[in-house]
Amino acid sequence: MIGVIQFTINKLKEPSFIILLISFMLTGVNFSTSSSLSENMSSDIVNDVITAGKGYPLLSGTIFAVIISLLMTIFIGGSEIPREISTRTIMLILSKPIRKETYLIGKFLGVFIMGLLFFLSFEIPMLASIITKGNSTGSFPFIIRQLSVALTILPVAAITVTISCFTAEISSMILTVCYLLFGLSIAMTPILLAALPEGMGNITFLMNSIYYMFPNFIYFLKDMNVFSFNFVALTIYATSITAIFLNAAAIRMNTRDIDIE
Amino acid sequence: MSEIQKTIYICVSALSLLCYFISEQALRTITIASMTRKMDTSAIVSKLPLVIREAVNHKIAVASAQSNLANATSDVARITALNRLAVLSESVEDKDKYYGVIFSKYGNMPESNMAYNYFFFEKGKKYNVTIDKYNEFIQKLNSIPQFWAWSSGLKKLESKNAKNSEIIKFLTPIVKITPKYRDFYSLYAKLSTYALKEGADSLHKKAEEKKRFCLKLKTIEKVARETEQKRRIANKRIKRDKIKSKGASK
Repeated sequence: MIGVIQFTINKLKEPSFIILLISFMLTGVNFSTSSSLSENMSSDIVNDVITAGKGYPLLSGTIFAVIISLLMTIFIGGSEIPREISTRTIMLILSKPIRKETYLIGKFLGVFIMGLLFFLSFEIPMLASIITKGNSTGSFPFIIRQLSVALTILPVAAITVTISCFTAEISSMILTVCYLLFGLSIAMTPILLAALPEGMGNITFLMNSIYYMFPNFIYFLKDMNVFSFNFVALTIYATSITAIFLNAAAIRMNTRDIDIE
Repeated sequence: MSEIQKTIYICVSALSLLCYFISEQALRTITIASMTRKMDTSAIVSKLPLVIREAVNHKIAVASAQSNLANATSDVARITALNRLAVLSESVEDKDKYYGVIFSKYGNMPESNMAYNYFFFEKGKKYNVTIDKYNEFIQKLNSIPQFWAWSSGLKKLESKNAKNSEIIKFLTPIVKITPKYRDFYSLYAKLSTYALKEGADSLHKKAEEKKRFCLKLKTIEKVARETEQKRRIANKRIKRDKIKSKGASK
């Protein structure tokens, strides 16, 4: 499995990726604003949901880092498996004593690590810059909260890898983006309906079914303490989504005939 | 895929789905519980997708009408709430129930107009309002509700494919009244057409006369606009007089 991970991460040795990482670091240093996401949002109901409860807020810079790293994850993850199938590299890898599931998990971990690297290449210089400026927000739990948002990369990497097992390179990237955007557009619905007076927010079975088909990224953006039940639930949530998708991808890999393709 | 593999996949799927539903429910509950500030219902509704927004708005309107009915202190308020509930009801049984209450309890009041119209020319329903009964009721109304009752009654007769003679019977009383608004023109025009079809020349002539008379009148909308304008001017004058009298007393 480590071999598959290494094979995926090897991309980072390419000059373009190194330049990209360096530019991320430099942007992170310059992006040392200590304003939080909720401060930058206009007074809105979404803001009320994000700031609900006690905990540490996410910085605008962290959100920026997450968005960029998620895009990179989709970009890398969407192309990995389809390209290896089309270039027949997959046949070479699977001719070794490696199971398809192992190959898949290796690919997923490789994509996740790359996404995480992009996130950290922006986030660490940004946080270091904030701390060196002596900003009061730079406490340990606050920094942990900023880093914990990297948990978002986990399900996104799994979703991208899974979709790429079903489609071609470009299609998988487009489908992943569409899937995530649609999920984001309906993310607030059940929370808002639950906030309505009793009896008003009973949503239909159909609406609930649609909602459960998409991950809710609002939960990842909420103000929270990392050492709380909320974060434990969020970790289980992210892990279970990852497991569901990887399981589907494993079934697909075992049932499709890669040799013919 | 071997049987063992299949079993593993099913077990992993079931376990991860279970964890997914439980953790999502926990996260949702934590989010709702930690929302300390009471959110405005209309603000919440405006953020919902259009499909759900309509359903939620409908529920809110029904709840509001039910509350109005429970808190109503006068018969008019009760009829208004029942009418609203009947309009909002999606099932025929509920509509029958609400209009039935209005018709049986408050049938002698002008506000029960919608219930009369609902049961008008409905032979299969619990209550059936005949043409004579409806016309008798319409006579008790003022000019504007009268116009609404006749025009909606006419629409219903036409939708139920009533005979020409029945439509003429329903519209005949309009030649006996002096119309106050231009809107009555359409009713006289219909009566004139049906009378001509049935060979009722004298009725046709009378309807034509009244139709021409209607052209000299103002429409309901115009009269309402003028009345509103007059009311505003009067209010302004009262305010100005008050300011003047305050200034004089100082």
